[in-house]
Amino acid sequence: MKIHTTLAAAILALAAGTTAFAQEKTVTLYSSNPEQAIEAVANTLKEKAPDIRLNSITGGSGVLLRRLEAEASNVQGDLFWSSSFNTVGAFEGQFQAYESLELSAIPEKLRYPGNLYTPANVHVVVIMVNTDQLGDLPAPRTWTDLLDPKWKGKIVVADPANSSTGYTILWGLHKMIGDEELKKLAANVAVSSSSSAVQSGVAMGEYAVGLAFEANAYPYVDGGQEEIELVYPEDGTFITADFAGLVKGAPGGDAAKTAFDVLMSKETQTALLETSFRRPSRSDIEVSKIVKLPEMSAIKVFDIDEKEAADKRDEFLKTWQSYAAAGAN
Amino acid sequence: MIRASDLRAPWLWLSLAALVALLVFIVYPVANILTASVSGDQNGWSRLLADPRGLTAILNALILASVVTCTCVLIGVPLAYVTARYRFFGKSIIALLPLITLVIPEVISAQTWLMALGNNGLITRFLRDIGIQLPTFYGWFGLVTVMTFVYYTYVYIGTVAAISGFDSTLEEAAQSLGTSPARSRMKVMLPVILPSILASALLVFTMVVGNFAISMILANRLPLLSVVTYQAAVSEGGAAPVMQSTFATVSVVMVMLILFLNRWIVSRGRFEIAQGRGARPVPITGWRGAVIGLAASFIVIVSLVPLAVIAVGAFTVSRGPVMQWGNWTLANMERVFINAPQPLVNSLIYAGAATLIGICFSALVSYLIIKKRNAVTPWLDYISSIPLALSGTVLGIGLVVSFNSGWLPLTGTATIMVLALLVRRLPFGMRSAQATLHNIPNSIEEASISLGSPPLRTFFKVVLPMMGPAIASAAILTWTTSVSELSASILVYSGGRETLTIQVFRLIGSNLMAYASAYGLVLIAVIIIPIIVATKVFKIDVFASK
Amino acid sequence: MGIDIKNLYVNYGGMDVIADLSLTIPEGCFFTLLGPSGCGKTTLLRTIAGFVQAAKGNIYFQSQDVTRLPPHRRNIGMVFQDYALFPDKTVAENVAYGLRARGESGEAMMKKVRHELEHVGLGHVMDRHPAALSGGQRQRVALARAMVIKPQVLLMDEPLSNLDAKLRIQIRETISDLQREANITTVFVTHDQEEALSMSDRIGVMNKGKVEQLGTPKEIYATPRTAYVADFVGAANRINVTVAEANADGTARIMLGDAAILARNTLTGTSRDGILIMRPEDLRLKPRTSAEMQGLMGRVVKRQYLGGKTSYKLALPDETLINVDSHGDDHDGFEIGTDVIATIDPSKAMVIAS
Repeated sequence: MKIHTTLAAAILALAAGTTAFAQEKTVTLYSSNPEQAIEAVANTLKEKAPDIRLNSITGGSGVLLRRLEAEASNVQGDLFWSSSFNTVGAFEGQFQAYESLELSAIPEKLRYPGNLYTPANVHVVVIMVNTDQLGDLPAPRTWTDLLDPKWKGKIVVADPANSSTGYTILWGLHKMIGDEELKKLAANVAVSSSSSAVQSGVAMGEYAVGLAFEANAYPYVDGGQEEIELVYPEDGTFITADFAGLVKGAPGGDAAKTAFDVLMSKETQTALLETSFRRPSRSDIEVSKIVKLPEMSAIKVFDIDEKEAADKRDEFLKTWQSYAAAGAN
Repeated sequence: MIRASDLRAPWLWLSLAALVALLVFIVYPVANILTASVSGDQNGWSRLLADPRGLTAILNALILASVVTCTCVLIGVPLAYVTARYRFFGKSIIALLPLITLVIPEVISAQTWLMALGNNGLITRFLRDIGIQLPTFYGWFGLVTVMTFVYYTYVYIGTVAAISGFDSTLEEAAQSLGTSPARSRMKVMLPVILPSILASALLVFTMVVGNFAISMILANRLPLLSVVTYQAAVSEGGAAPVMQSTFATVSVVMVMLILFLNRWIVSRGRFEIAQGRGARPVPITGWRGAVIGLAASFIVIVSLVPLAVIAVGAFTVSRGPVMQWGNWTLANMERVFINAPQPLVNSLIYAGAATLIGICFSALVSYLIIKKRNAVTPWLDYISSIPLALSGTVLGIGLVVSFNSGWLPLTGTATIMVLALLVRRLPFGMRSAQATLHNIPNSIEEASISLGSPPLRTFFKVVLPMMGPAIASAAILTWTTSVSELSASILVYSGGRETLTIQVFRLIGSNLMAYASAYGLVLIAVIIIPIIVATKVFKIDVFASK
Repeated sequence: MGIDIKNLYVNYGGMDVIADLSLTIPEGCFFTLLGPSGCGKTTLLRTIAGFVQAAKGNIYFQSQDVTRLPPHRRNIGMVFQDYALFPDKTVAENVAYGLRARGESGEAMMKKVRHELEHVGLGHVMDRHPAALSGGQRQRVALARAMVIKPQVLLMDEPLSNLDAKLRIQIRETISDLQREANITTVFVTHDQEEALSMSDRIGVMNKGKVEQLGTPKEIYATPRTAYVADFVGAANRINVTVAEANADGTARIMLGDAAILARNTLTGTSRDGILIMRPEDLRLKPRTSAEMQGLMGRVVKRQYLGGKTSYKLALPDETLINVDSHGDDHDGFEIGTDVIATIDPSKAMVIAS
């Protein structure tokens, strides 16, 4: 009798094992993150949950979110990763709350109300400088340095209407330096349609200065392009978290949740930091031990109310449009 | 008028089946675009009129297309004239021209031009050092330059064909009647080849209007129809496709007008040239030969620069976005073939399936249209040429809008990828199959039938083998253009279904030039190897049907 | 196997191209449809083949009604003007094609193919492609291809028109020989009267979708029933005349100016107006003497020396021009400007209704 049960159990286990093996699960990730970052997730996932296959669709975060909204009747994606508070805030209806198993490692201050989204990493806004293109200008040390008309046409920033990065940066600046100064800045900047064009523009020397996230600009320093420098403005800068979410009605089911937990794990966040220089949202990773970036404690941070940024989006975009239009003349 | 005997033969039923397929996959998506533009809470047209950006985009597209068409004619026609009429040093490399346009993905062309003429480009820096400030490359300057060098070959090919077909004895006759050589050329040759030049110029016009890749990269701050259409498409998705449909309709109407104009010009230009003796190219030497040779070679070499850049980039060490020029590696290629081969596999499968289905469909339907006319076949002819009027973006929108959900949900499947390529490139196969069928006399088929071979068997045993060479060349054209297709597939692809071109586009978006170059180089190989095999091994004249 | 066509109608786009045509072609007969382009002869042939659908009426092969039978099941052999050889297949494969369609294969089939090709004198080109053959060779291959399947009827659509004059005569003989040996009912379409006269057992002269006259080559040539037939088959002088006197022996006396001429009278009833038909080679020229009043008085206005004969153009007193071909010794003996008299055997001149 006992032998029989053991045998039955063994067969069951075997059967379960083979079905698990045979039914490779697919999780589709909508990501606005660069290829290397997605690869880091895929690699961690391969170790932690080898039966899950990760598909990724990449694009601008706004584009992907609207696509999720359009696909609501025929859900295609499982996870969205990642965008800023103000951007994801408009798409709450497409997501389901989920308390990740890794949530305890993430400071409460960063979390999204009700855990509809979970912060995956933290961005620091920096001034990316191409020293070869400065000419006679001194490298900027503060935001106000950039308001001088001498900088006209030498600064690039992403279009806040099409890029959440651009919105975060310009909203934050607006809060920090005020209306008049933003107006002066608007007269100096060129606007690119995507945030990735900001970094490449500065790196290729199209522009001397770009307003960018640290994680997007740093790869050029890491890659050995000596003329690229990151400036953490002395008058303070601001941070913003990138949020990831579990899509409502995700076809991947439990596999999607597993993949989500993997996205938040220490391994993934460390790998992300190593490969794509994203500061972890977790508090248990020491950044400067892994990459040559300053610890958060060494950076002067100006607090931003993300909720306000999201609520006043339309109003601010209109303001910015008028500044940009005035500056263009 | 349908007779009882028609009902017994397989042709009417096959025609109806083909008609259903064309209605579902071409007419229905186009109809959806047209109706979607006037549906929804707010009519797309009133929104368009209220939005200065949209109107500017349309105007800009028209201006850009006109300017690029002119520049292409200015480069393409003289180049065609000197290559058709003279022999000079370096002429052989000009024979490469048609290949270049086919094999270099536009994304890569645009990126390469940025390296030369961008704010920090090699040429820009050189000129700045000697005190000349070029305008910014993002905008008119860049768009016109890159598109000119990508599209002038179409004018070149069309004009070369017309000049070589031109009966040079006409020109001699004019000279014998007392006009000077230059005058006789203007008086006699120009009117004869003008329709060909205009037709190819209009082709360039429509391609500029529909251009996606170059516009996306270079039209950052300049609203352009194709870019705003794409942006509207990705932001609206398939659920409430109002603005994208409105823009798409504008583009369809614009291209349709051009095509009608083209047809009108071609029909007016039907001068019967009694199979003329084309002039033999005369050698041109001395300083004039050197100037012509240098100028022509310059144009061709400039067109080849992107190819060289990606060939080098594919084997260059990179760290993140930074290229370490001069350090070589195989890691990028390893990635393409070993770490992430999915795009390569996808490209091969989708383009292969689209080519196979497209060619079979074209052969059969062209046969019906030319040889088995019935009440249905004229419609097959009209509908199958509709994709000519659709830019990739428009087609992509149509497919997404039509098959997102509902009775035939295809979103996220491989089918919709194949469908996008298939429909977009269908006219290639149709045009070439119809041209060949016109040249197969009816008596051949009747001979086979009279010998006791039933009609369908006759089609497979006699007609199809005779169409063989033309089908092969159409298949290669369909293949190469399917592999390099981007604008339609980028709208319909889903995770895991990216093709080589989509991958290149994405990687360039992420500033990973080394990987982009590696995928780009493999893409070019996938395009060019069948062409080489076909022309060298099977002696197929790939460009005969162009 | 004979062919019977009963009350056949064929129309294209609402127009009758063949209307109420009935025709019987006996077994083993070499039947020629003769007429100018557009007369409906090719349409009739293609209707017999089955490529054109009859709107009304019936076609029988022997007693089998084939009107609704698709062409590939009619067991016909067809030869086309442009040869219609399959360019991608060898000569042997072209000939084998119909046998393969009938399920034959292997050595037995190849033996038939070889035999048939040798029969037309092309045993040595079996492995070539049609492009490597001359026009005459191609048409022989096409003939072998049509004959090897032992068809019930052989249909030929102007098979000689694309060949030059010498080859035409050679292939003509080949066709006649093959047809006679196989004793196969044959329908041959041509616009060339010489072909029709030389090859056919029977000829149907077609005009505007109708068979205008049916008969042996000799009947068609010697006794055309209409001016159209007379004109189309061989050359003929046609003069509008009024019969002066209809004789009981079937001849008619016709006055042309002062001179009189006797001709066979085919006019019926009280009608006296008709057309006088005389073939140029039937007229004899003599120097004019005042006594002679029987014949056509004329003056030589043109003369063409053609080797075996001389072709004259005479002006009659009312300035009507007629052609006369003169044979025999000294056939070029009349100078331009000479007054002559042209006579004709009454059996060879004919008055028909206009």
